[in-house]
Amino acid sequence: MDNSGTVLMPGGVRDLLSGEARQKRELENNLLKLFQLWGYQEVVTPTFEYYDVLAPALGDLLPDQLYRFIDDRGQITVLRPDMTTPIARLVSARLIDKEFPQRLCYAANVFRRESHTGRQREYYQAGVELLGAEGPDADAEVISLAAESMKLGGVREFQITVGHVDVLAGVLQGAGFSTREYEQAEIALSKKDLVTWERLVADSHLSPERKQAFASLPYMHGGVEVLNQLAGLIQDEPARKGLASLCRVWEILSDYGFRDQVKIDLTLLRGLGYYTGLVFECYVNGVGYPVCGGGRYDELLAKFGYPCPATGFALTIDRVLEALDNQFPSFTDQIPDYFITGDDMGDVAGKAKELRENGFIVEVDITERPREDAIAYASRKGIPHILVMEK
Amino acid sequence: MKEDMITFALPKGRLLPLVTGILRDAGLFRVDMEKDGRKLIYQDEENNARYLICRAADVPTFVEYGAADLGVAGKDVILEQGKDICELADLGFGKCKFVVAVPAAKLELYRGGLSGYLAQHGQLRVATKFPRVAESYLRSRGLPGEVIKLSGNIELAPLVGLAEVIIDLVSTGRTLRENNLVAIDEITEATARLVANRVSYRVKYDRLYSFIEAIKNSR
Repeated sequence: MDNSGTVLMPGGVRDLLSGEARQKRELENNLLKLFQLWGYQEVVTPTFEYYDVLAPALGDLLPDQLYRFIDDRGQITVLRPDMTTPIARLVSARLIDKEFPQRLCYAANVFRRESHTGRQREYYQAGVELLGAEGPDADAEVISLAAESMKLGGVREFQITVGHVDVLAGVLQGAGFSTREYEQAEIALSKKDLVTWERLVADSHLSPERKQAFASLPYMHGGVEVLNQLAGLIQDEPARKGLASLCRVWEILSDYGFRDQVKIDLTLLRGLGYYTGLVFECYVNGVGYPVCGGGRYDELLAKFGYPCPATGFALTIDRVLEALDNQFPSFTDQIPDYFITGDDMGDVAGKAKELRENGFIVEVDITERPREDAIAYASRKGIPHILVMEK
Repeated sequence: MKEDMITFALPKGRLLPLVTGILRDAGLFRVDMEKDGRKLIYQDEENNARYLICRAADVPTFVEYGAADLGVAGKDVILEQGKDICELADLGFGKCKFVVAVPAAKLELYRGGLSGYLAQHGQLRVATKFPRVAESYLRSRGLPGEVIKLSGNIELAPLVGLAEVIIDLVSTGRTLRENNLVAIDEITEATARLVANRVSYRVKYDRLYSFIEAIKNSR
């Protein structure tokens, strides 16, 4: 690598300078405090784990999206690409004797290789996992907590879109697609490729009215009225159950006061292949990617030998900061309340200790510069109180 | 800037007049381009919208990152870039297709398609401007082949032995004929598509929906 004067960094990672780092830390602390208020307990898992252990549970993340390396024993290890999988591993391996439901939370960085150089590859996330609880009440708790997290982050306007894997499957089954068409339809909807979707519906054997209803599926986007429209499109039992649970979730969210923020859109399909029921994403105007996402993953823990229903979400701290940056431009450095210089370091330190104990931010002059230079420095920095302790 | 303003990325070049035509018919694009035809951003106060003039290949990028809510991009560009954007409607114009072409003089060697050729010959090199499209074509047919990315004048490659075949975008087929190349397979057809940012599509749904409906109806 030719450095020739510049210090290089790999693509997709970045430094956080003091203002931004402080904002990130505060956000993480506040989120963890919020999660605790809802009864969630923080856990920490290792940054890297065995590839063979995590790989079967990583859904549709491709091996080349992972940072893999060989450890000193020749084992393939992987930097965690998300927190849900390591927590599923942790619960199955170590927490099955505890009473369920278990509520766990985290704030951690995750790593994904992206094909575009320059695209972000290290993300900070905070999230929760609710393990051992099935049913809409658990789903609603997790979505409400996600909404509270957005509010707490200071994001003024956000929207949560909710979908359901089983309801969508029921709708697609009702269209009488062949296996191949079914797969194409699923891919088209997940990519929001409505051109392909409309062509598949047009080529199907549905009656003209049914065709029209199916073609409008991607446009069924809104409140509880969408659930009524969907009822006409499904026949099978899991889908009916899914629809009923969506209704119930909608009611609970309304009780929590989030009726206006929540929209139903069945074509919401989250990338990771492990989702099994209700799924959701949060969006903020002006941020081009979802800020937060999650859902139910009832089959994931079974991959670690302990079948157990579960749901959760992860909020991407970097994107919340981006949303806040759009609202209040520019991060500022923290300015100390006091600057203390003096003839005797003992006096200075004593005064500083006293002020700090009272909660003030105190910067002590530790340089050998002339006094006027020290004072000029503190004024340039905008420190409101400058103390000079003379003998 | 009003909260619910819509930003629309338009491709400059041959598609632009067609796109602005459709938009005007839909009651959108209340903009006088004649007056200042070299601007990169046009405001449309009446519709609370603005229009960005982008390189055609950059439209998906503006849309993916959310710098634009909506855009018009060729399916060829969308396929090649594999960006995470919503594809809302086929606008029908700007039609072209991806084809596999070989020198007319060697057509005989390709009677059994590319796999037939590979059964007789050791290597298959494909020159193209669209490496992603080419790779997925080869992969989906289980053909081992080397994709050679060029920036233009792809037709040269098989004439001078840089590649056996080319994968290129054709609209009339004239360039192929002029260079004595024949298409032996058609990969897919491509037309202009109305695309949207994934987040805008949900957050600004009501506004976008009225745009989409107007555009679909005037198509």
